Amino acid sequence: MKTGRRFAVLLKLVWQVDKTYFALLVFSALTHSGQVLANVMLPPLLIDALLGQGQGGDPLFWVAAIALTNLLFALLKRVVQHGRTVKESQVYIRIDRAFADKLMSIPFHMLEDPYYLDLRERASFAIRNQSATAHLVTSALDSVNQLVTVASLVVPMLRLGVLLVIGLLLCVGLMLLIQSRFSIYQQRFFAELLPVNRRYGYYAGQCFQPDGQKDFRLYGMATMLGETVKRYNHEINTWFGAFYRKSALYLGFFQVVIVLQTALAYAYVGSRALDGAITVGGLTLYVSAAISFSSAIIALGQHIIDFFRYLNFLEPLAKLMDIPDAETHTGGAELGTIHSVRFEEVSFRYPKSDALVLDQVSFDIKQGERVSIVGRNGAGKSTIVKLLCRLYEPTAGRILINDTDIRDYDLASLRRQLAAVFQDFRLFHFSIEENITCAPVNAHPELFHRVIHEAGIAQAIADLPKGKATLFGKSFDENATEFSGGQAQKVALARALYKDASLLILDEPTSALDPMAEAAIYEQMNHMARSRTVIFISHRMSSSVFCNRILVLDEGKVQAFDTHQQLMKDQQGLYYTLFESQAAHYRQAKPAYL
Amino acid sequence: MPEKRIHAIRRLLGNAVRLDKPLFGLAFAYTLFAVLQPLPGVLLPRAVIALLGREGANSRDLLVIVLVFFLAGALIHFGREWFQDVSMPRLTALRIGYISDQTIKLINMDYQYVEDTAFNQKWARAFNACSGNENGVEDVYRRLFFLPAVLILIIGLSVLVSLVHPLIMLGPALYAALSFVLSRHAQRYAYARKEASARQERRLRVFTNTSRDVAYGKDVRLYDLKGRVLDNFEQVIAAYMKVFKAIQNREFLMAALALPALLLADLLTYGLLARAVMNGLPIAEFSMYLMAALALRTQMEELTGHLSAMRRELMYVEDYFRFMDEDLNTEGGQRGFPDRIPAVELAFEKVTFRYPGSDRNVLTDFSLRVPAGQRLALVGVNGAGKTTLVKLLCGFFQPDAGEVLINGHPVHEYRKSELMRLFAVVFQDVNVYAFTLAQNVAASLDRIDRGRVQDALTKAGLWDKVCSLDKGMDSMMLKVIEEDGIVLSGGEQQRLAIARALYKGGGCVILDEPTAALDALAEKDIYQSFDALTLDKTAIYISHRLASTQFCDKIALIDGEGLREYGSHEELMALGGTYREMFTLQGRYYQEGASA
Repeated sequence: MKTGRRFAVLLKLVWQVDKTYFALLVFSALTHSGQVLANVMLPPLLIDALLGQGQGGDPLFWVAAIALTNLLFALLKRVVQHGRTVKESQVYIRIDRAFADKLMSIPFHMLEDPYYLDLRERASFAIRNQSATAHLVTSALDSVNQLVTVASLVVPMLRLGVLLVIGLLLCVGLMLLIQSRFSIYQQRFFAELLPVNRRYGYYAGQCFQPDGQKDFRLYGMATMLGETVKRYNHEINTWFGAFYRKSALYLGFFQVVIVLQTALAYAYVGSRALDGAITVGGLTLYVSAAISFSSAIIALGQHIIDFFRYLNFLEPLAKLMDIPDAETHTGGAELGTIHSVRFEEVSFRYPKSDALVLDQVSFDIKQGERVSIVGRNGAGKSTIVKLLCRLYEPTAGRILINDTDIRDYDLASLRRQLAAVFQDFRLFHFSIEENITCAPVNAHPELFHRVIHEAGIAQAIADLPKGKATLFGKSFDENATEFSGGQAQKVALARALYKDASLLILDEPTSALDPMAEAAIYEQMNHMARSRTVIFISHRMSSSVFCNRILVLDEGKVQAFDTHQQLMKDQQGLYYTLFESQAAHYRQAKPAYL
Repeated sequence: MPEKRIHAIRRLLGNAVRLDKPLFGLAFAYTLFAVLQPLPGVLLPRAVIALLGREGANSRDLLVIVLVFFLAGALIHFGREWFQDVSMPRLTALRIGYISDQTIKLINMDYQYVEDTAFNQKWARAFNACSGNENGVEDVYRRLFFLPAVLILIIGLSVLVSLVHPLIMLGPALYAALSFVLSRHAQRYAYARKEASARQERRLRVFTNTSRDVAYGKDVRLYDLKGRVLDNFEQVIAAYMKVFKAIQNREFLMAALALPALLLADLLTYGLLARAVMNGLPIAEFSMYLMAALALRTQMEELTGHLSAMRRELMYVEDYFRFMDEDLNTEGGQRGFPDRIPAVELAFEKVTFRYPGSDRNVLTDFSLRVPAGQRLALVGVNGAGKTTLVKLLCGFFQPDAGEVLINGHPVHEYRKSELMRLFAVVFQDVNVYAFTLAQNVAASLDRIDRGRVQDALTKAGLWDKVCSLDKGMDSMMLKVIEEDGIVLSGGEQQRLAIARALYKGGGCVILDEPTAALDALAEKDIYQSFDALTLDKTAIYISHRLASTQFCDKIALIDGEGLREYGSHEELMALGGTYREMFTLQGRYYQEGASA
């Protein structure tokens, strides 16, 4: 992505999240250069007045003028500072929100694609760890401040003489050279440090995470973890030691050039004063103008270098923000009730992967059917669900709903007809009610009442302190509730049932439920599904018995698609093997290996 | 400064003396250069202006002055910068050492704190004390590093400007003091809103995390929740900004209130110096004193900045030290086990328990005995407290009433480390760590008995897989550390966990829902390694899949009220109670000729 394009994308982003920020930019620049000018102009006037040189005047007038001007600018500076702190924090959060918006809008498959995954990781890292959005905004603002200051000092500097300006610019060039060399070194250093830092972060992070704490204690892993953390500590310290020794040299020489620039200013202006061309007050004025001038140019250079550096860091964000939303990848047909689903020779591999997850899969489902998909872990069951929901596009073949390719439907209308409990479903940090209705206002209280009973979660909801209005997720709100795996599964089921969709997809909906709750859901499945078509995925083979037909998948291929009774006749078949390995435990005779 | 803070500073310095003595040499050298730093800037204008006023001054004299200034200035500035820069990573190293001490404390503390949300809130500041270069421990170290030079400069410059008039130094001092007092007020205001802002920050983080989580992405799209998520995000942003603005407004107000003192300082500085010139002070001296007065003000502001930041950051440091001093790792009792632990007898006697901070008993008057060497299946509805029993056995939590006994002695009489040696537990969620496969099994970096690792992997049914890997059992797991690290499937992860438990041995093995996410054949594999795993041990198997009960000697069915049914599979089926109902329900569709 070209720098210009990157800049345009990010500029648009900032403009969208906060327009008043740009007004602050102008005000801040004027204040900054005003203060520099006042500091340059006023003290010499006092000196001249004291010496009775130049324009003269009453020294006490100038004393008051200096003090009051300082007061004014100190106040303005604080106003600007305050405005900046508030605005920058707001812009920063809003960019985060815009980022969230984008991640929820782009086609889903990008979220799992290693390329976009990496982009997202790097964008997150730039925003959070490097504070790149915040710094970009700050360095842009500071660049403008310095630019205006430089412009305002150009006239007195040129009046003083071109020679000094050239000398100072040479100093500036030298400093920017040091600065950019250092900046390159710094970037290379941090790029090399990144993996070390990530490793250190992983091991140290494990110590703070709740997940492994039982293992650490039960298996005495604290020692190995502690030792590894210490090893990386040492490694990081060695890296930083080397970095700062280098940095000390660069920055030390930088300081030397700053001193040189002051020396130059005094030498030049002093010799002009010796010639009698300027007064003592003038000496002070021109020296401080010269120093302010070159420091402003240096600061400008630094801020511009910073600006491009952060623009660079933000390339992943700019790339992400530039992806068109999913809605633009869609046909115009409106989908009504689903009458049929047909997979035609569908093959699929995940982006950047060689392995075929689905290999020429064909099957069809009629309205009102209950179809079970079975197979071993990794057979491609959940992938079929993802394709059907158009979270992914088939690599080859096509999927037809009501005899029309699903790509020809308006995406929103397609998804309106689908309700699913995904294997890794999530509950949101909303009220329990909203988690089920997915709308801020519950339009169908009777329906809500019915689905929570059907899903077997009504009592648990009634027991909550605020009932269905209780928020979910303690990380979000201390008065919120957490659910056990089984309860959460029931809420997710209620959500799917509440949705007015004609195809219901249930991917391992009972894996965390106890036998009673599981049986209750199986028993009620027909009743709950009503006229909906149902696709059911479960490792509990018993669930396939109550389905009309069973699609048996093996390593991405359709092995069979038939009724339970027919499938059980093939005693060499995968279905029979899977079924029997569980069923044997529930019969009188024990399985052979016991 | 209150006693506590002095104490915290003393402790920080004490640690620095212990860990990095050369640092003090560097700090001394830095101070030397930093104290000299304003000198050239103060003297140069005086020298040049004095030269201008002298008869017969020529440009050679000017050149000499400027050259001397340049050489002295370059040396001083370079030295100051150099000593400062080489010292900074040493301060970072001290901080990272503090983090390391803290992580070691965290992974060794009693487990009950891990699940205690109040614990995390209580120590949030202690955890933040080492989080960056510019806060907490390292910030205080940095400021302590800079402070001596600032103090010496203030004294020196004050003496210098007082030569003109003692009141000149009063202005900056007043301004600094006022800023310090007012900033304290602003800090207190912010501190009082600390919880509110931390809460809003936490809520913001929930939203950024939600939108980045792939799994949320599916539900967001299918249930069209984007708009709702963004609306709620917006509300949280508004709430956050409200708190943030209130704090910033107060800070602004306090900073503005100090401004009259600044006006006074300016009037005094310029006014008194102007008066001195009118009374005969040469203008060259005027320049010098003016530079000195301005430098004094800068140093005063530095001092205020250091002191008020230290006041703020020391609160974090104090919390850090309090955390490190807290006794969070109780040793437990004196009892232990022999080197090779034989099967143990377990018993719950009238145990009542609720989680800290909860108002509901998970167990009430619960009793159950597991004889040595028995294999017990523990079944029950969701929320009956099965996993809680495991946590009580391991001594992770203490019962509120009743006793949990091992070989007839209460759990708390055993040394914690001995209890950890006794139990090998396999959970549903297996954690594989970014170490080699062998290290993951042996739970050690270098004390690894490779023969036993192979044996454990073979018995767990994972050896074939290991042989297919280029580096065998030395393969790195996960892709976090090495890009070509190995990622195991769900079933393989469970087998790794079983190998870990096999390698460990111990006198009691516990499996908690190890097959919930596995397909039927992978489940069968796990069942088949059960015998090897439980040989000569007491075993507890928790599962919703009742098939697993059949290779256990006894079944205990518990519900919220306590132990409901107890006996062998056959006995409980004959009893005709809840177990039979559950088993029949789950087995129903597996019966021949079954249909919906």
